[in-house]
Amino acid sequence: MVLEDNYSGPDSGRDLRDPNFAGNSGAARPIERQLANPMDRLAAVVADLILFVPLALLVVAPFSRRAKEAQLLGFEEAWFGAVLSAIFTAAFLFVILQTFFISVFGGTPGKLILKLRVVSAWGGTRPRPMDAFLRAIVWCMEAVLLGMPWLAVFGNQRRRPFHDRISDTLVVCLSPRRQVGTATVPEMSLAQGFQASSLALVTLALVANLIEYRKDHDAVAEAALRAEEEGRLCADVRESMREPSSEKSGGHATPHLKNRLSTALTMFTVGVLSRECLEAESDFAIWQNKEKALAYLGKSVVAGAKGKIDLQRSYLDRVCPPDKVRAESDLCRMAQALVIESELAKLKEAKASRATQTAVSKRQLALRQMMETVGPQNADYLRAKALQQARRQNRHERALALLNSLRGPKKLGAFVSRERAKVLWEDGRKNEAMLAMRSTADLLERGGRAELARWFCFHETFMSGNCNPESKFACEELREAVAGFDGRPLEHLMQRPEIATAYFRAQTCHARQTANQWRSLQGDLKDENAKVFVEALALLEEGAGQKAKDKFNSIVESRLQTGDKDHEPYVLEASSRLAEMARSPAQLTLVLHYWHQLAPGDDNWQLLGQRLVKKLNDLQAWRESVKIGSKLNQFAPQDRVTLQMLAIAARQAGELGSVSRLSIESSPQRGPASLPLEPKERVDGDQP
Amino acid sequence: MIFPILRGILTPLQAPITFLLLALNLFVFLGTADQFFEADSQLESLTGDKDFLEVQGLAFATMIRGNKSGFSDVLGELAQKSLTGDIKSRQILGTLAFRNVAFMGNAETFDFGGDEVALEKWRSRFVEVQKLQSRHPSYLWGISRIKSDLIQFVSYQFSHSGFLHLFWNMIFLLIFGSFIESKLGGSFVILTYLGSGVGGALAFASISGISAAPLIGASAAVSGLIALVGMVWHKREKLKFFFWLLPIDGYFGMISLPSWVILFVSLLPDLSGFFSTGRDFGAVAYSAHLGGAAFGVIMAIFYRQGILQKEAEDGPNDQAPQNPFRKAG
Repeated sequence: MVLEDNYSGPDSGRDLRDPNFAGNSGAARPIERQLANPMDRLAAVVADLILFVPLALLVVAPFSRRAKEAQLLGFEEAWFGAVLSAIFTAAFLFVILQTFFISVFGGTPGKLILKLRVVSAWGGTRPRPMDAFLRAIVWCMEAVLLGMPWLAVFGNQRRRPFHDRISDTLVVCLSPRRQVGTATVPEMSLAQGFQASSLALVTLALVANLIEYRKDHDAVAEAALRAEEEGRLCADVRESMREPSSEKSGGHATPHLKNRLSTALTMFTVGVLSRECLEAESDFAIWQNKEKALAYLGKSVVAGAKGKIDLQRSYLDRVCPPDKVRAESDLCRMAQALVIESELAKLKEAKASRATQTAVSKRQLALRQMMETVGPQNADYLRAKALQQARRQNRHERALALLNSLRGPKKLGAFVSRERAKVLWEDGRKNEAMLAMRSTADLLERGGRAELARWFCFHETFMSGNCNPESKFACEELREAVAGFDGRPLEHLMQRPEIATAYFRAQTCHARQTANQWRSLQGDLKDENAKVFVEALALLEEGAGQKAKDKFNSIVESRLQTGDKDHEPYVLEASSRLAEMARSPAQLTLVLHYWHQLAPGDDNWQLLGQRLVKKLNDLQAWRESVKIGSKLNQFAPQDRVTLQMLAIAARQAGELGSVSRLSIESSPQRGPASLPLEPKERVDGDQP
Repeated sequence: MIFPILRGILTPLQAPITFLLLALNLFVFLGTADQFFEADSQLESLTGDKDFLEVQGLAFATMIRGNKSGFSDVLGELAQKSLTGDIKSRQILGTLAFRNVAFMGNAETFDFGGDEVALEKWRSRFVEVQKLQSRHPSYLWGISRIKSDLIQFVSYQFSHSGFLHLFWNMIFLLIFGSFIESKLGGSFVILTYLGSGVGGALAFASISGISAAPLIGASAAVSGLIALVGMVWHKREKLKFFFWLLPIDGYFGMISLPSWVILFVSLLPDLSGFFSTGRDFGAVAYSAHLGGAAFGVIMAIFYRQGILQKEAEDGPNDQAPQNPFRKAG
């Protein structure tokens, strides 16, 4: 039997006096005593590699070239195919060379140099070509396993790895002084143990690598897909477009490309498209030399978003050259609006002075006038810009009209529905807003639905300062959306602190979470800010208001000290809780300091400002209220309620003049003339 | 590992021509080192910018799109990918553009269309790059589209792109140059060195085409010396090599092997490299090495045919070492 290694055939122990024996030295020694030294065999393999590898490299050169080119082009399958072909070709070459040398000369070049010979175990003769061929194939397969099976030269009594056993060969040495004979029992035990553990380790490493490769491969494939979608094709934009086959031929600008660019610009303006996507779309058109003006507009918007103001101006000059201003064209109006916006951004960074303020007001007015006439006859991107302006000015009717005129792909549609619900809420049409929210929820993915519910729940509970029935619906929606996060709501909550803070409000208002429940939740949290925040909520439930305040204060203090903006929603929420709980202006010092430091901030910053104005009026801290109100109004014209409170505070503080000017400049339609000037009665701070 | 030792490194008195060539190489390297490294670092800072490379890649892609038949399929594919938004392809093309004669020669005035704002910025930097290249030692001494006169066909053989490049070329020059000088005479060394250098440059120009990146280094000349040794002594005697199979006593040391082994271990990798590297992507000029080796073979044939006569008798014969394994046996 070929695989039986306990050689006990009739030729066992036969002297190598057979003239056919390639390595016959004339010595009358049993074949077992002529076995080659394992180190000689290893050295022979190295010598073979030195000779064969350059040859193999030459043979696989075409595959190697193909693999390099495929790698350069990112063609993974072609690369894999070329590498596989190279490996098989090299293995084939090794098999042919080994077969030839062993069957003709009795050993590979390395073995011949080291005076080793491969002989048949049944007579010490030179192996037959088929045996040599079989031996070479198995040798190559063992090489794939990093040569681990070759360790059998120590572990097998007659020093035969699998390739020797399957072809029934032995490797002997012609030099008697280098012959080692059969392996001893301790040597075999040691080698077998080492071989087994090495094989186990190699297998483990291979499996681990395979898993890692799979993960990497998936990640790379996903990244490639994303790059493909966002960079080359930009799926978000493509979705709404006609198929390329509908393009007009002839090398001229096609409506397809124009639509595509216009949609990308619109989506980016309203904030539902990445910068990279708009850049890719613009680059695509520019380097096709098509729709260049529109593409330059896209590039200018991208440059502006990157904060490269000079580059933005260079692109805008191409969109609408100063000497050929076509003021009525949508492109030029958009370009001019962007120029004004970049000037405003520069002015806001400049040192505050009367002249700066005048320049800001002048530009704001120009921008407003320019956007005022934008209507359905204009391009989508211009309407999106006008919508942005209307939202900033809290002009709800105008915003609704513009929203109704926007058409586009799914993402834009979802934005329009979502924004409509928000505008309706801000306009005080809460029932319509709730209906809009409910109908919008179906259009959104779970994350988007949670985000919308968060907005409503947060605004309702935040602005009213308590848990009114109106907030219940929105907060219930949020709780449902959060619960549906693949059974891992906590993990998702922690990834989105702004949703987490709204969710905590929802729980406080409508789930009557007990202190113990809060503490149990706290145990599952990893984020330090979240832990402190939840601890404060637990303390509130226990009625330890002062301790809760200390906790909220520590969150704000830590933010002020470290400047770490990663947990801003927690800080904002802690600030608002402190504002709700304050009994005197002194208790608001830290929060006011934080609010001023953050200015000008986002939507939530504005909300906190409005909340502070209300609270400061309640506490009759008129001057501070005017200070905050003015800053808010400078950031964006405020709603009627805030303006009313601001006017009251200004009158009480004796600063009505400055507030009137601010209001008139920023919101001519709603000067404070008609506002009531009497203060409300002082009320104690609301409890959430 | 196997490394030719031959007669080892002889003294300057035993091999004056070889040492003269070595001195020339060192002199050029040391004389231009300051200028070289300064220009190199300036070039690197100019061309290392990703935005610059991307715009250059797009510009090159536009050029390729306009003349697809003038460029390889791979470049065509890269151009297509670049123009449809693939950032990596843009950067690769941007780098390859530096090697392309058509691009480097015409880019300054070529009408690319495309993003004129980005191109304006790129062009001003590109002009700076070209100015730097025109005074870079590698471009002054090497063969490139900027300079490829007769003098560059010789001067490139003495200029190197870095210490390691110089070190290995000089090691081989000393081993093979001094061996040939001691066996055949100094005129064989100088003739083979210069002739192989020119042969290598001609092969490079005709097979790979003169690139925008400079061809420099003594590799082609040294390949000629190696080929000469491999061919002249391929039957007559065995030469000394150092071998290293295992880090165990008895498995490394000196060994005598036939001289064709030199051709096998030195020139086969060049052949593989040549066939496995596309024309547009070769950083190592394999064709120049092969051209140099071809000249060395021609010199060997002339010698064996008696057309060229050796100057000196063989020096004291270096005893070829015995096979260590035979000794052990």
